[in-house]
Amino acid sequence: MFKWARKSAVLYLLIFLLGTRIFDLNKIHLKILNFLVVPVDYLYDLSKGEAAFNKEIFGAYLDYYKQFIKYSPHSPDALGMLAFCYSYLGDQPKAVSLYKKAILLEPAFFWFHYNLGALYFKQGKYPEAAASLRRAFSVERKKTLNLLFNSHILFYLGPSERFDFPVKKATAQKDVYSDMANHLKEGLDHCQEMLVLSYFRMKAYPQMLKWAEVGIEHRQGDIPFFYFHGGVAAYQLENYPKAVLFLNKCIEKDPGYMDAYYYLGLTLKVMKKDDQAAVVFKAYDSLRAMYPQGRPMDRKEYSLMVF
Amino acid sequence: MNRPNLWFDKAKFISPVVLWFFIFGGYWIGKPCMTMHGMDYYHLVKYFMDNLIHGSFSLWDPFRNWGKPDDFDNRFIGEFNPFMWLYVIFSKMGIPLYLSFLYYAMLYYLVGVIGFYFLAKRIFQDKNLAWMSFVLLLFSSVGFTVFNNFCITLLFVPVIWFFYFLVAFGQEPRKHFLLGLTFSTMIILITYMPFYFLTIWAAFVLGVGVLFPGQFVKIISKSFQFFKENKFLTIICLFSFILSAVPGWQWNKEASRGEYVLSWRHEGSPVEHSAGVNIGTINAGGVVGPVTFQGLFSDLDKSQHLMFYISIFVYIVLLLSIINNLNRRLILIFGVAFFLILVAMADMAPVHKFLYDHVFFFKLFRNIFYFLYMSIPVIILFVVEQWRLFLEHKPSGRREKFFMVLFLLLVHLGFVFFLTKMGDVVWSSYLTVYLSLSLLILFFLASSKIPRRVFELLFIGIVILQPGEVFTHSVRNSLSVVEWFPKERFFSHFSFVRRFESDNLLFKGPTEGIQDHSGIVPWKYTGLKYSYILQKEIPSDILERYTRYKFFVYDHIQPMQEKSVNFKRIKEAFAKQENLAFVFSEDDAAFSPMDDQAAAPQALRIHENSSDFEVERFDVNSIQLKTRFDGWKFLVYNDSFYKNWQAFINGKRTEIMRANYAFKGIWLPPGNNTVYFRYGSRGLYFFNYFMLGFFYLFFIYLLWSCYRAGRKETAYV
Repeated sequence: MFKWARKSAVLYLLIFLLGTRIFDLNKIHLKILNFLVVPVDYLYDLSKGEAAFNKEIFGAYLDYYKQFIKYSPHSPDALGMLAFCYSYLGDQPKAVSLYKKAILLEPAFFWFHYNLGALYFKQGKYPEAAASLRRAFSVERKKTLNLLFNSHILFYLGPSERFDFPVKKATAQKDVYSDMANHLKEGLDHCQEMLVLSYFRMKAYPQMLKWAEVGIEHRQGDIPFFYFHGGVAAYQLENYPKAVLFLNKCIEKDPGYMDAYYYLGLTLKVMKKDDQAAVVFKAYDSLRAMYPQGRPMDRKEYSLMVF
Repeated sequence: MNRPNLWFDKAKFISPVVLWFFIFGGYWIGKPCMTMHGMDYYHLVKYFMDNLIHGSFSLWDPFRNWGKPDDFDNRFIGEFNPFMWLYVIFSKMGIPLYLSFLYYAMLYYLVGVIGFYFLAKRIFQDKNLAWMSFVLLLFSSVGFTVFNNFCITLLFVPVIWFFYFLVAFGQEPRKHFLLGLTFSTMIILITYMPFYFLTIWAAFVLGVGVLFPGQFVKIISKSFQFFKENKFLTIICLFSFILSAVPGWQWNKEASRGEYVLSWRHEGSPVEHSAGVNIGTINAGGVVGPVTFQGLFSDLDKSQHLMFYISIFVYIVLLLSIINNLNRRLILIFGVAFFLILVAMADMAPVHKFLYDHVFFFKLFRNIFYFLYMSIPVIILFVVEQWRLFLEHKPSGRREKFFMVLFLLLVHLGFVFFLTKMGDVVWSSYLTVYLSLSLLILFFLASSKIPRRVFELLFIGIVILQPGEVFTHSVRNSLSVVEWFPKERFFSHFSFVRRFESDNLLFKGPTEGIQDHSGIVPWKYTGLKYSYILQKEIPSDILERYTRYKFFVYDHIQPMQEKSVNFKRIKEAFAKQENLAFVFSEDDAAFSPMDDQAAAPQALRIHENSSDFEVERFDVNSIQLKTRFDGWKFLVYNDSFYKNWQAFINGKRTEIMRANYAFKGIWLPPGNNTVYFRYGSRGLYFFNYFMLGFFYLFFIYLLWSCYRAGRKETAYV
């Protein structure tokens, strides 16, 4: 009857039962998660175009986030970073779905909304892009910074000399925090620009005008860009005096803003100021001759950002 | 007639070794492969041996942190270990130093694995099972310690041999076994933290005592009988044992006095001992994280330094073994392995905390994960015993054979299913499972038609298959050499002026940047208490400018007491390089009055040999100077003050005072003087050289005894 009690299976079963009693599984998971932490610097540099794509390093990050999610499936920062990786690799549907999941878990993080908006924007899904970017705008910035600073997944060594990190920890941390704040400011500028462009491409001119005015009001980022798009929106809404005002301001801020001359000429023509329009068109033509493909600085490209 | 068998035995023994060396082939020809502690140990061995062959048994390191005792580093490498001479032999053959160390380290590891073969042979009394144990260990993660944590290899090799000799002596008490037992204990005792071994030994002895009480008593009485019959040998062995405990005991005594600081290790420790570690620090470095259950099977192609890895065949055997009957030997081996794993789990299980609180030496273990490495050979023995038991199943009749095949199918296919669930499994894992299934079916259904030797070879092939792939990935993934603390180390080269670089360069500088440097690395400080305190109290730029110069000659001194030390004043004096030394001494007579009132405002900095001051001789343990000043002078040698130093002026001993808080100071009489500073007494050097010779002779005697015993056995056969 007790023949089976002598089998090794019994020993393994006993050990398994003992193990479940004495091992603290939560602690084990936490320990594994802590161990997995790697600085996000490489991906950050990559997103800024300051590092070259390296398949192996990139693969290691991808594995790390996957692994992390296995242990902690409700970690929004890990989901967000995995989305970033997939997007970089061209798997946009997966990236979109992961960003959506991350936003559900952490709606107060600017960069998830921003990246989702940028993804939609790239895909030409402007209504979706505008919705995401609007939400990005509405989140509390300090919350984003706090989340960033306290996230293990987004652990960032920053611009301080990295080898000195253990020695100059306090200075490094201060630098990192201010670096993160600067990135956020930059992100907000891009967000606003994308919003304006999304409404432009949707031909939603009232909203386009509104967001261009917000950009002008905050006096941040590319001011001539906002004046120009404000002017274009006003022109489309047939608010010609406003269009003239904004387009003139744009030219004042950036005399080389070629398209502003064009729209100003159109507006003046509609306002029956043909002489003035002819002068403006002449200026436009001479600029056009200089930049037949358009000015390089006016070509806006938005990539996904780590933060 | 035995000739083909002999050749077969040799070939099957050598071929896994050849494969192992083939996989690590890149390393042999110089691909940088050592990381972190692998590199550290290269430097430690190089420093010690380079000095030794130049006539200095290094007991002091004057090049790091303004000078520090070398005991701790010597404990790391086990300075009397005769195998370390392999490094010297290789380097003398013209092999580059880095590779000389690597060849020594790899061969030493191989010595340990061979020891494991003999141990397994003693336990199983079966060459094939011993061979399987040998292969499993060779292709486990223990081998990686050669490249990334050589300390574990240094501990592992003598521990394996100890258990071999212990088992052998328990089975048949013979002289060469006792000698081997003693010698392996001697090596363990001079190695870093022999308490790791003590823990394993205690677990084993306790297990034997509980599970085999009759045999235990019998072995004890048999041993006593042997000791009685071989009194002289027993006394020699006991003497050798005690003698080899002296360096460790001495270091332990020094470390307990609180003068030695290991800032990165000692912070928050509940014990005075400088090697003491806070339990939080231990827990931070546990095995959970680097080792996960999933990691045993998944992502093995991405591994760099395998911490816990055994061939996947081990897990198949464990699954198959569920139908095996337990025996006491299995329970003993399992118990020891399980205990070691539990300890290695640190705060994940309650065992370590209990031991930390109740067993004093557990407060000295920082790297508790060493026990995980140590558990690998024990796990292998358990698996091989299970394998033996499994192969003993002899299904007879169609019904039994059918159930056996069904069982094999269930286990193997179940395991494949499990692997697919784990994800990211290397292809050789699946192949191992399929081959194992096919071969076992063949074994149970047609073993009579196929020679046993063919099965043995095929099974070993299966054992090696996955490690072959995983090791290849691991070698390919390994990073280039990581230069870590300490950097390149040289010997006996004296310079009057230390390098002066900012903290940044400590991390980024050239290879030899860390050596003989005026700054120190506070976050990973290993050195003396007063130097440590000084660098905390005095701004680093001022201190580094001051300590650049190794010698200052002063006309004025100011006594200072430890309890009322004025760092602000010391800082001021350092910054201006005032002609004033601060002297800390209990003995008031040490302060002789100065008569030179018209002295220069600044102290005399020595930056080269001159007619007044000349360095005649220098090695890591001592320095001899010639001085010639008109009046009394106070000489400060900016090398850390430590009580073991002695000073002699014209052959007469003179008192060394603690000067400028952390350094050595002595009075110099007017006229010509020969000043000699030396670390430790002559007796200490005699003892160390004696120990070197003693270990070497003991080892030769052991080899000779084993050879003689082997010849006798052959003669009987």
